[in-house]
Amino acid sequence: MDRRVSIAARVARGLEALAIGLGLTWRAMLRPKVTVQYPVEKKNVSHRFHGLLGLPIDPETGKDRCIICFQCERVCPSRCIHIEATGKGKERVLTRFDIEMDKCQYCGFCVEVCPTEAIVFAPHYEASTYNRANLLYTLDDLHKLAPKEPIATGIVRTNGRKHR
Amino acid sequence: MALRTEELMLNMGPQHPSTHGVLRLVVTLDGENIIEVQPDIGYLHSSVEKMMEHRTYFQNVSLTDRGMDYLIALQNEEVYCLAVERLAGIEVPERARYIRVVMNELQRIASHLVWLGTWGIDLGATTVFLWCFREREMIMDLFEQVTGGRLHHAYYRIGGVYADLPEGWAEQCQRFVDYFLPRVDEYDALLTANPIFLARTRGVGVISRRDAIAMGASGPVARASGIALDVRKEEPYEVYDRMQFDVPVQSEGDCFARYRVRLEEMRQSARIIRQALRGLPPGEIRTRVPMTMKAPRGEVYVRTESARGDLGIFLVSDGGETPYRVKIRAPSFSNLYALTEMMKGWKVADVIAILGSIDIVLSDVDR
Amino acid sequence: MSPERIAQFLERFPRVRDLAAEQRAEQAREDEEWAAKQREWQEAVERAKAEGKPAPRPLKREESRVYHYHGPTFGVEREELLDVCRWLRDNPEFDMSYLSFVSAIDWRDRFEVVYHLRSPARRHSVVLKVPVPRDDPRVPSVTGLWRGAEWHEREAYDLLGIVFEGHPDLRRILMSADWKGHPLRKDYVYEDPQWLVEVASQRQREIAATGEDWEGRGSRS
Repeated sequence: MDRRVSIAARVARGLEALAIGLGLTWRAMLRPKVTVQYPVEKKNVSHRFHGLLGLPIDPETGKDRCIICFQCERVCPSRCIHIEATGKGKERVLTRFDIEMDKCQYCGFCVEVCPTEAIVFAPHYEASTYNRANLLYTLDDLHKLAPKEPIATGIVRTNGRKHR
Repeated sequence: MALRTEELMLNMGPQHPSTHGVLRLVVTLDGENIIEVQPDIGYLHSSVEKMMEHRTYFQNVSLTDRGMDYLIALQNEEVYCLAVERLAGIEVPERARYIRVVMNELQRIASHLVWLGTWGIDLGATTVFLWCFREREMIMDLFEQVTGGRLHHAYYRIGGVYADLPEGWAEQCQRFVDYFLPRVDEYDALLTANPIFLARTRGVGVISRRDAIAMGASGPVARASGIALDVRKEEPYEVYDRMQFDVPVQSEGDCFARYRVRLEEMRQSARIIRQALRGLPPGEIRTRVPMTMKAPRGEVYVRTESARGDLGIFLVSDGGETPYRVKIRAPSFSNLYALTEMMKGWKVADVIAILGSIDIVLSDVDR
Repeated sequence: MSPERIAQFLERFPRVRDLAAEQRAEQAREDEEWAAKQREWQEAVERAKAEGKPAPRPLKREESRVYHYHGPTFGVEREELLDVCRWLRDNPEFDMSYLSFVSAIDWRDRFEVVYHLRSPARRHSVVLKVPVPRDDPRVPSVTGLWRGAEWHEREAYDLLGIVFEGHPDLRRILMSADWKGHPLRKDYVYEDPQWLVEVASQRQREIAATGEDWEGRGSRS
C-alpha cells in the first residue's frame, strides 16, 4: 500500500468500506432466507432426480416389468447389477436382482437402456447406513423402493421415440 | 551484527483446510520468506486414464464426471464426447449443441462461485462464501431439473445429450441470469474496494507473461498475466463461434488480476447463456449412435476451455470397442506447476492467498 | 498449420516423417483398391447376367486399417528431437512457445512419446511423435526448452516408464515413491504393495483375535 497516503485518509477509506459492507449486510437482512434446515425440512427433488433405484410393480399384473434382457447389467460402468433367472421362454422368472448400491455411481445408464422401463430412479437419496452389508439391495428392497405414483417416463422419449 | 538464520522446511497438508483437497506443499522458509515451494501431488490419483481403457466409449461418459474435475463435470463430459465425436465423425444436432453451450456456461459460473466463496473464506471474508453458495444452489437446482444430478450429471452422450430441456426451463434459466448479474456486482462491491482484501491480493503472487507461457499455465491464470487466450475464440467448438462475448484480460499477473478475470468471466458466461437460450433451435437432440460403438483407428486431440483453463483429451483408438489410450491434459496440473514460480519471495501468510487464487481442483491435478 | 509452413519444416528437417500425409496416401490407396474391386464385381455381375447365371454376392467393404490423424502430425527420431523442438520454438514463423502436454502411447512392440506444441500468437499447433524401442525407452528431455515440461515428463516416467535424459528431477509424481511397475503399460499387472499386505494381515489377525465380523459393527436392518 502507498506509504504517502496519510493515516487519516486510510482511516476514512476503511470507514467507507465498512459502511458499504454494512449497508449490504443490512439490506441482505431484509431479503427472504434461503437456508433449508436439512434434516427437519427436506428439499423436493425434480422428477428426473438420480436417486436410489427401484423396480416398480405394474398394478395390472402385480409384477415388475423386467423381461430379463440383461441390458442394464451389461451397460453398468461399475458392474454393480447382478441378475439371475431360471426357466425358459415365457416362464422365465427372476431369481436374483441385486444392486450393490455402494458401487453404484447413479449415472442412469441402466434406466436409459431398459426397454420396458422396469428399472427407474426413486426420489430417495438418504441411503447412508452403519453397515456396508445394508447397501446390497435385493429384489424385495427394490420393489419397496420404487415410487408409488406413476413415474414420469417422458424423460427418455424425445420426439416420440425412445433413444437407444 | 548479522543474524544467523537457518532454512526451515514446513509441511502444509495433505490434510489442510486451505489446500482445497489433498495437496501437500513442502515449503522451504527463511524466517517468514518463502524460498521454494514443492507441491507433492498424487493423493487423489484415481487412475481414470487406465479405467477408461477398460470401459466402452459409452460407459466412459460417467467416468469423466468423477475421475476428472468434479466441479466441472459437464465440461469434462463435453471434452470427452467431442473427442469421440471427432474421431468417429459423428454429427451432433444443432439443438444439442446449443444445450451444451448453456450447460457449459452454467457449469463455469457454478465453478467460479465455488472458487470465489472458498477463496473468500481463505482470506477471511465469510459473507462472500455464503452468498456464492446461495447462487450456486440455484444453478444446482437448474441442473437437477435437466440432468437429474447435482454434481455428477452423466448428461452428455456421444452424439448429443440424454434428454431435452424440461418445459419452462429456458425461462427459468433466463430469470436466473437476470437475477445473477446484479449479484456479481454485489460480490464486486463486497471485495473489490475492501482494503484488507486488496492488501492481501494486490501485487501478491505475480507471474510474468513469459513465465506463464513457458510453464504451461492456461485459463484465468494465463489471462491474468496478459495472455489473451481462450479456446472458445481460438478454435471454437459447439456453437461458440456464433456467440458474442469478450475475453477478459488483465496484465498484472497477481492474485487480484486473477480475481478480476474470473469475476468478469462470470458476467460473460451469463451473456453467452442469454444468447444461447435466445437462439435455441427446435429439433433433434441426439444422433443415433450404437451403444457398442467402435471408433475407427486413429488419434485425436481435442481442446476445450474449461473453468480452469485449457482442458484437453488425447484419445487413441485401435478400432476396438474401448479407447486404446486416453491422455487427459488437465489445466490444474500445469497451473499448479506455475505455483512454484508464483510463490517465490512471498511471506508464509501469502501461501494460502496465492494457492487459492489459481483455483486448482485436486482430482483434476491427479486424475 | 498451412501447407507452405509444413513444406518449410520438412525442407529443414528431411528426416522428419509427415504422418498425416502418409495417412492420406494410404487412404487413397485403400480407396483405389476398393474401387478396383467394385469394378471387378460390376463386370462379374454383367457377365453373369449375360450368361443367365445368378449374380455374385454384393461386396462388403472391410473395415479400414488406416490410422487417422486429425491435424498436422510428424514422426521425429529421438536423436533429432531437441533440434526440431528448438527450431520450432525459436523460428518466428512457427513460434511454438507453448507445450500442451508430453505423454506416451504403449503400442506393445514400441512406445511412442507424444509432444503437443502450440503457438498462442500464430494459433496453430503440431503433434510430434517419437518412436522409442520398448527395451530402451529413453528420450532427451525438453525441460530446457519449455519449463512446463517438467511435471509432464515426470508423469510419463511414472505411468509409462519413459526415461527423459537430462531431466532435473526425474522421480515418480502420482504414484508413491516405492511403487513397482508403470501402471499405464499394457503388460502391467497390479500387485498389492507391501505396506497394504501388512495392514491387511494385521487386520485379519485382529479379527481372528476378537471374533468380530468383517463388515464391522451393526446388523442388517
